[in-house]
Amino acid sequence: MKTSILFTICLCWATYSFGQTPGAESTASPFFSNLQIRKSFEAADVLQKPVQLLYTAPHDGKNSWLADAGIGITLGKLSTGTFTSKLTAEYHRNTLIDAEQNNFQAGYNFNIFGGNGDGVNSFYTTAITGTTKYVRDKIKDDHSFVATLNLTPYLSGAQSAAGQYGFNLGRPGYTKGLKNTYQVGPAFEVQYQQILSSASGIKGGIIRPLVDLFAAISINQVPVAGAPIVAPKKIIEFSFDYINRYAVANSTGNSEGFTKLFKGGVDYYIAFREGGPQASLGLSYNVGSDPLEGLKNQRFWEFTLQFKL
Amino acid sequence: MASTIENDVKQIILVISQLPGTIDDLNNDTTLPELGYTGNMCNQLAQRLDHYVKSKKTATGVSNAEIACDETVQDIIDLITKKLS
Repeated sequence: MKTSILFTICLCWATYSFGQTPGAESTASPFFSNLQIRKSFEAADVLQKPVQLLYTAPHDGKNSWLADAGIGITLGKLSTGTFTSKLTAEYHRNTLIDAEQNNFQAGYNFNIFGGNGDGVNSFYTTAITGTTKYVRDKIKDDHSFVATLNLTPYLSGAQSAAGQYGFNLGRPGYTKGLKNTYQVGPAFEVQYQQILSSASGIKGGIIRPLVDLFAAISINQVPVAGAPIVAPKKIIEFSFDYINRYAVANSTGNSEGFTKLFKGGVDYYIAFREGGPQASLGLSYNVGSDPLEGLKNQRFWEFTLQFKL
Repeated sequence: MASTIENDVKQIILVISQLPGTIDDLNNDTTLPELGYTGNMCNQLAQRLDHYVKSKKTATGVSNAEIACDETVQDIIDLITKKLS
């Protein structure tokens, strides 16, 4: 029921977003202007991949799901200065792979992002993102309380006298002439998962530090000289994301130790408007697991039609 | 004739976007995401605007939550103009 509600909200938001012109977005109500859709809210601003939604209900046979999406609503009353609060919910379900995934998460998320702000020199800070949430894994049939703390270095390169910008970390940057858009960075996180109950009888706590290395580079359509300033259109984008975790403390007895997840892929943009609707064909190779999102250890290729709103 | 505040805010938005060009080519109805802004870039913009507003001896600064990442250049100009009025 909860997952159906989340799925419906995502679809309603998609319909709403497609119906807006850029100028109209600013006149939306505060509730909607602060609503975000992402794949995950654990990290502040890692590679922004499109959400994936697919549902097929054949007349005969089993229904198929591919849902990898989350929504977040900023809590204005609990946000001040460099501190921002959100309520978030995520749904990760994939019935098209060897070991099915069916995972729902909901909770509270905060972000702390400060810095020098003088705008003259390079801007460096570490974005701190924390979450406390309830996690339901329907495949393992367990319920957990989870707390995470994520640190993502953020560097915005300084502008030289010639107008060129220095190297960026944790945010997009451009090569000369806007021919390419790149984004690279590491992120560091600690996860605490307390399994409250499980059909297999497993209970206890797990502490997992993790390192996340991510990079993406796209080939762009070079903007026309003299046109109004907007970010360049991406044509094709290559990306990889590698996460390595280790359960340094584990009282559940489930023998979890090192786990990793690698995802490498290429996206070909059929339609692209920076900040607006985007459609792409994505091919990715995935190997590894993600215990918190209920993804069991496996490897698979994924070819999807993706939309980003 | 654009005001000093408008020009200053547009220059700040343009520098953080790291896109080439001058503020004359930056339309007021362009949204931050159309300029390639991500969530943390919006936070960086809030920090820069907070510094700018406080440098004008105003008591009220700019918090990260005040810069919603779907806003237009004009929305940001209006916010800062209101704070400095």
